[in-house]
Amino acid sequence: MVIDLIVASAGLLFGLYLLAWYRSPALRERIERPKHEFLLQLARHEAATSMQDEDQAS
Amino acid sequence: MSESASSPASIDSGLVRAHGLAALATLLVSVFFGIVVSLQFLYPDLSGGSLSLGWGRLRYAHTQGIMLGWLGNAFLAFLYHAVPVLSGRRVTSSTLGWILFGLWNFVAVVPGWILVLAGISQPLEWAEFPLIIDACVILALLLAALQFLPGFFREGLDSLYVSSWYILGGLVFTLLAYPMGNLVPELVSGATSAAFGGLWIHDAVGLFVTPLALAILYYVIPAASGRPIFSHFLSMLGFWGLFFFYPLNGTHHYVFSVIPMAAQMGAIAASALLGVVVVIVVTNLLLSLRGAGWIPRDPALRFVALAVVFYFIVSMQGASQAQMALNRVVHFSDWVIGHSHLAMLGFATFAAIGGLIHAWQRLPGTCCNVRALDWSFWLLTTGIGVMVIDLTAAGLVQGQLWQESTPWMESVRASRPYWVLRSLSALPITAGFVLLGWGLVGGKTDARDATPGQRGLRTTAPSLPLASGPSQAHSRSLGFAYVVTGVAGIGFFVLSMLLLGLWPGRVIDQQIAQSAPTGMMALSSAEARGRAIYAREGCAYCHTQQVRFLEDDIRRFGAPTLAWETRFDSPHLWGTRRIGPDLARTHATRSSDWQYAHLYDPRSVVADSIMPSYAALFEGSPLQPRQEAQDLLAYLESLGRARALAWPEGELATKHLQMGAHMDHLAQTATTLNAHPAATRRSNARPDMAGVLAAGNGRQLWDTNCSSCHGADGRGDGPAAAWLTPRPANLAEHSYTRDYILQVLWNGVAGSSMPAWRDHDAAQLLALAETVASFSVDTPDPDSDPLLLTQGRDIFVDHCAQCHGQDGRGDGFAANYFELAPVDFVMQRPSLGRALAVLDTGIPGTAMAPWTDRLGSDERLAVSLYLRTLFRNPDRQEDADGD
Repeated sequence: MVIDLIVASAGLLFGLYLLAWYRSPALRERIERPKHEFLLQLARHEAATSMQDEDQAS
Repeated sequence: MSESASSPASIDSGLVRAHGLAALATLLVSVFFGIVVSLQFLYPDLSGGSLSLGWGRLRYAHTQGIMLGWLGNAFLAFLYHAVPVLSGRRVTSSTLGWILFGLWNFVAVVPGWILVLAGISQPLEWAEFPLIIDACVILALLLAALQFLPGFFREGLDSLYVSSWYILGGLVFTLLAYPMGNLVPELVSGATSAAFGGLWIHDAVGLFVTPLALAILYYVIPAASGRPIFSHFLSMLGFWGLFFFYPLNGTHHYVFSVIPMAAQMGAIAASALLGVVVVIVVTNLLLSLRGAGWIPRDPALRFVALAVVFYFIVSMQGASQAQMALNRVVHFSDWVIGHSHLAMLGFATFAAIGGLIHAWQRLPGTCCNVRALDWSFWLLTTGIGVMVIDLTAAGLVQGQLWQESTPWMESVRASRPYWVLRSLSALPITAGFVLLGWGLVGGKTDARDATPGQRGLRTTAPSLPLASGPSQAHSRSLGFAYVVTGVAGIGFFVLSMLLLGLWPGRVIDQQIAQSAPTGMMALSSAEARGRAIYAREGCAYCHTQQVRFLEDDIRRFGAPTLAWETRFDSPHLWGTRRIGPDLARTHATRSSDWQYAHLYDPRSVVADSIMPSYAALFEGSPLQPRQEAQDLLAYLESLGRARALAWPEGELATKHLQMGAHMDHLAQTATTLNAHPAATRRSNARPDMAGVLAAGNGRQLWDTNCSSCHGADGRGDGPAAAWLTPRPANLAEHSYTRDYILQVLWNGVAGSSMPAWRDHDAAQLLALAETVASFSVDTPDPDSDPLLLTQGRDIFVDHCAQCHGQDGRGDGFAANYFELAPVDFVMQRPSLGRALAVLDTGIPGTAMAPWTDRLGSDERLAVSLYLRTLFRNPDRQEDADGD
């Protein structure tokens, strides 16, 4: 029971800390940035691949 | 992430293709192993007595093949595709890649299979390959880290996409956990070994399979749908939550065991918290899938989407079954097998397939057959769905039957329809995997010809939706936070080893010091060799060696297993599955003859047994056991022996233990050390069955339980009769009182292979007694010559009464010196022919010797006629009245 309470309390505090942290718009924007960068990188990679395919085809 | 372009050449297509093909090949081999294992539930002799193709070894090869062969290769194939895109740089070295490919497949997986099938293995779940292979796997993991991770560190950690984090975490934490799970249990023993083994069972899934599968999900969903994931914040929250809580789950595999209750409770709480984290992860993934439709068109996305659903179900299932209320019912049952298949074949495999298809479609010049991939999806979904639902239901049935006081074999018989359906589910699953392979390599359409839209990809770079660039301060603080969290993650892993491994080990050592009997002997050489055979053949995957601190376990098997009982057990053989009964109290439960017959031909003594035959351990007959069979029997007989020697005085020591009030209570109040219903007792006691009506299925009970030894008509000529000494009684040539039959059914016949049947209720025992009595064709003798009877009485008093007693009640002064009690002629009457035959030849395997050298034929006739007059059957008036 004691361990349950400790783990639950630690989890709750950790969650509250992260939520408070997330409330900063600039920081939130920074945290979310990799998901957009990933898509950008994918698109560039795909475009480069397509170009290479076309070069090989011609 | 680097802004520099990642050219297509940065993806090593050859390595993607090589690992992809290796994944498919090892998948088909592993599935074949699994199918044979599954069929052996229905046809236990399928392997034809071959140990190499026996159930245990194939089971070892199946799980390791799925984890390292199939999933390992599929993950590596995906990493060769994804890491250059994620990091913006090539992997470290193509040469290193081919070395890793060769090491993984031709030094680890294939030799691992060969060694396991040859009998060189270790009996640890998800760690069955021997230590030499473990060393190769660790080396391969190091090479993989060197190959894939450097690119991630060239940019700031704050720029890493969540898939990169999962790849980083998966490789780093697997490198930490693999040696812990594969090596440490070999270095410690008993409960401590089980504690570490439990950690690895969960870490193998939680730190190796899950992170790499989630890396695929987070990669393929945006790549195939063309939209970013819903929230990178939630994805990172889930990432750290998983790495914090997964390592703390391990001990939930040994709930109600002697491992300290605080560790068990911690693991149960962590399991529940992990469920909360999974809800966050799955919510984020499902929101990321919005707009993709219920059944996405893109084959990779379709597999990945269902992997998300499987992940949610299996995680909720795992969090629930760790809780004590459910654990006590479903643990050790097929429920757990369904759960593990849902994790490895459902979630992980669907994610791996999604990643493989995604990478494969993008290989130059690769042909994909989309129709075959569609069929593969539906066949696999159907097959896995049927299998998991079927095994979950089977687990509930087994758990319910185990909680009742029904015979163990009832749970085996009740499971058969479920096992049939499980085997049938292999048809769509196998077809699905074959079509997956065909879809990847046998297509008519070049995937490169498909339009980008069909592949769900954009060809124009999306713009970043950022109003303003992030400040340097934020980047630094985010990077710092990630470093701190990373250190904390490793800290949690170390914490899991401390709290769930080392600390329980220390407590267990203290318990052992307090309660172990002094001078407890380790295993003899023969027993140690037998233990190695037990481990080699995977016996622990069907038989546990831990009576849990549960009333149901104690009632069925006896006193709960204390820590000191397995103190020399390294690595532990506690097991996590009960297809057969627990073996912790095997000592003195069965005769050696019975054990040999059971090992040689299990169905000769247990009609519906599904245990594989171990005839290879014998020279053609149970009467000729090889050294290995003798060693194995010596080991089996050692199980529970130390506790039996210490019982009951040794139990006083347990009063000093502090395992928790309820556990202490259960440990101290178990009235019977060995509650095995077949254990014989030299006693005439039995429950009062007055007023109980006999069940109507006596003949069926006979056929199921008795005919294998006594024969269909009770003539002592069943399949196993020739292997048992003394032979099973020919019931046709005896008359028995009903009271005697019930006594024998309740207590067995100590000193023979006749077990007790205390797991049957009174109505069933009465029905069996009626059936046994019906076999007798013996009738009282016509009036015999009084002089002959007087002569017989005199001979009996002179020569037989020392053992059989003056009144023939089997209570002579020498009776207690014999392992098998002398016959009580008041309660059983041999036919005249039988009595004469015994006097002629004696009874092999007993103290009853031939009397031909001391008694003439007339004297033997006289004593035979006399002893038959001693019978008093209160159920028959003429016998009750005497002669």
